[in-house]
Amino acid sequence: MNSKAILGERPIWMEKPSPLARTLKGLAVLVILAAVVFPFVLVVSTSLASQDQINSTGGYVLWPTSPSLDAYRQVLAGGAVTRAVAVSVGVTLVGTAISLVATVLAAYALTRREMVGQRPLLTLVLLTMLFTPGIIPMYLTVKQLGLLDSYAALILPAAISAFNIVIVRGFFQGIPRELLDSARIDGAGHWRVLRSVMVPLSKAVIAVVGLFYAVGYWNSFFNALLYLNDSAKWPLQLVLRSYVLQDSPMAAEAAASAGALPPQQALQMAVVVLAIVPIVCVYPFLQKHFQAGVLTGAVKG
Amino acid sequence: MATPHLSRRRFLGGASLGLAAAAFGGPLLSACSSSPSAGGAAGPAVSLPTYVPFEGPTPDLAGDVLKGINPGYFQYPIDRLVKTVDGEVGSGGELSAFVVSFSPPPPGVSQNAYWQAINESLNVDFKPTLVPEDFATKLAAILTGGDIPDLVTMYKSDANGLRRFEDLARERFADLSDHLSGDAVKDYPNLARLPEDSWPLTLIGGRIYATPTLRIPTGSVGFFQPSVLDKYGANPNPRTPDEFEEMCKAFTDPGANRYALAGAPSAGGAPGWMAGSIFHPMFGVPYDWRLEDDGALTKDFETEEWTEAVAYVKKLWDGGYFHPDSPSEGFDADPLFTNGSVALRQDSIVRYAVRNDDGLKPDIMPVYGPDGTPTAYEGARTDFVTYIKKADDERVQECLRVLNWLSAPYGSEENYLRSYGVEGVDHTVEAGQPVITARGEAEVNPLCLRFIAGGPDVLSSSSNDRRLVEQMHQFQSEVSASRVKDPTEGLYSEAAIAGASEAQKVYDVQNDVILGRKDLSELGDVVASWRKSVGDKIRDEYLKGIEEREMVS
Repeated sequence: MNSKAILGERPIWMEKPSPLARTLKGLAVLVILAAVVFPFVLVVSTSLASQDQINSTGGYVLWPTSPSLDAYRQVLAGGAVTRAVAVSVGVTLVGTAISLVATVLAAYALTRREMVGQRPLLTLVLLTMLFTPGIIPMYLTVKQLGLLDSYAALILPAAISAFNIVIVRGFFQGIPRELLDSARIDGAGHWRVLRSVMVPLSKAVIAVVGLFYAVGYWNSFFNALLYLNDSAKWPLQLVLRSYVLQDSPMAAEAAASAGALPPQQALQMAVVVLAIVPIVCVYPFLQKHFQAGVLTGAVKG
Repeated sequence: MATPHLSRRRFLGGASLGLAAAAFGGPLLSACSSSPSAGGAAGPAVSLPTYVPFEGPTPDLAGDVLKGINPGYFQYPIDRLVKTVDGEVGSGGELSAFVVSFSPPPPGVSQNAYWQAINESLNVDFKPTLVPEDFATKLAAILTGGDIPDLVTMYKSDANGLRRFEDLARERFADLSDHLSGDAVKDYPNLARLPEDSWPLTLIGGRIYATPTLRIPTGSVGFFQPSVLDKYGANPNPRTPDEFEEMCKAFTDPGANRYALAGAPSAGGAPGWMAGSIFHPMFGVPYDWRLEDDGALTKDFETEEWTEAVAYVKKLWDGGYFHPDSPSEGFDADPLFTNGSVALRQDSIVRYAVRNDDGLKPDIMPVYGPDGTPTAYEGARTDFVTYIKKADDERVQECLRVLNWLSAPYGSEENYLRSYGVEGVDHTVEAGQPVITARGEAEVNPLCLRFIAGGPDVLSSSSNDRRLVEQMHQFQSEVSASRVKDPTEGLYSEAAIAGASEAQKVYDVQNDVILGRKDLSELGDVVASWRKSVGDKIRDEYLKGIEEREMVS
């Protein structure tokens, strides 16, 4: 597996593009980049802007004239957001660890043809990609397991994704059988093979799947909404939505008549920034594994 | 647009959940239907709680709540507060509540002076479940799961979004009729001070199952900034559609990025286009439905007045008087109104009395009906309804005592604590006016007690702005005689829930007509198909509901 080939180095029969083509390509990349970066700049700038400036520009600010961190101070002062960040970080770390362990174990087992019932089990796993349980049945299950109002309810119901199992299993299948056979001949058991051969050779795919899980945990709010009663346990995304989503006409009207108006735009944007920063920080370190990991898994199905 | 409307996404979610709730509730309910307690529908209808008005501090502007005019206070009556609750309220144990929230979550009880003060006054350990969104989903989950909190507060529209809600409610919630009907309510004086017309929404099959939380019934109004209109010579008091159009014309200048109007198109079953607060009353369109003299019901879009209003809005759109971003999802006209780029803003009448950070001094633009009198839609007086979990009488009475405490009106000591928290921590008193502090902001509203019971049934201004109070009072007085109500408000219709998408089809065509994608003549067809598919069925169900309601009151 040559990572350069995947990353698109020019094949030997292709000529170097003309300067014009290169300029155009460069421009295209710039435009796309601007389209991606623009919303971020808008969000960050607005979070730093004063209410006067926000009003005069009509909602969003491209460049704050007198930047201040007031919005951040206000958001962090109540304690709700800081607590929610801790919850989100905890759930993401623990959740990702549990998910990765479970996924790798399941994927390894499902590559072993000699395992009794391997086929039916695999079908069963794949079936879960086609059918999702309804919200109410999920709620009843979580309730019967006694997980309501616990952090476990944010992790366990979403701990294993069949899609990720398929990816990891695909990667495992791509590892030469001879390696495993020689390990077995040397007397390694399944645990040993998994630990010393499979996992070290699959770092890329594990990093990618780990990122999938981590982003999933970090962004999820619905499980929290459904399973948690105590607002002190809310993760950041749910708190964030309680700041931002009041812009819907219904909420605005209801809230106004109830004496509670939505927080100011700068405040809302500050919360958005707080919610995206951690993932933005983690992403660059994992991105190098991204293509190799996903592609390999994908083609080996 | 005085009634809260579900967004389309929420509505669909709610509807499908309703199905799930029904499916799961089904076996449970059928198992119970043989027991007499579940046969509430057949139970005798009861009389509504007797109305005993609150004799509190005299208002500066007298009100008549039955005529849609709320009493007005220029200044908080801080030295005239009345104590309304004597004796024990709670029994010291846990009291859980389920309630919608529009705020970020409050600090935990250990760091929350307000929460602690409430626990002490109520003598309970208050445990709220705050639901910031997807209320109907979570409601369906707890109702089917059977984990019912002691108090469950909801919009009646959320309840109506769940199929077979009435059956579920009879199964899960206590029948309060014996405690509240007629003179029995006098044991709970703060509940007795809720006017009789706030109670119909709490009825299920003619029996009382909940307590109401009040709101200012006047719906949305059009706000404008006098100085801004003045600058461009626009008439702030247009009396006819033609004069209104002239006002728009005088103000609008696309080159200077100035537009008279900004209003989202219809979505989620609401007419959109500022119609509810301006154009529908202007053309005499019924508020949702109209009960004709012969007892028939007509839906708003079945009337000629509605077609006229749509044609008029189309004319305004074609004239370029609407901000061109109006149809975009998530377009927020608030900052544009504040900076003077948009002349008219539709919002709740109390919007600027509740919070006015921008220091705006907007006026309310009166709307004149076809007969030339000022008019407005009037929503329900009841905002939320609170159900009590089925329990023994003692527990139900404790919950009612808590609701009685929370229902304490403006001008009472209990209301002062509930609205402003602890003095020196949550608020300070400046020149006789309580001013909420940053800490109070984080503690008071986020606990959402205001939704569980009570409500703003007086006109007042948190910024102590006398002019705002006078203005709201004047508006209510002017439209009192000609205010338009929705005869089906709060009634339950299975067909209306199942057929919500059919009604939205009509509004979709309305949007297309206004935006010039379809011809005006196509409105008739889509209304006819609505009538055939669900309309007539909804009509029959509402007529039955109106009949039942009349039997009670």
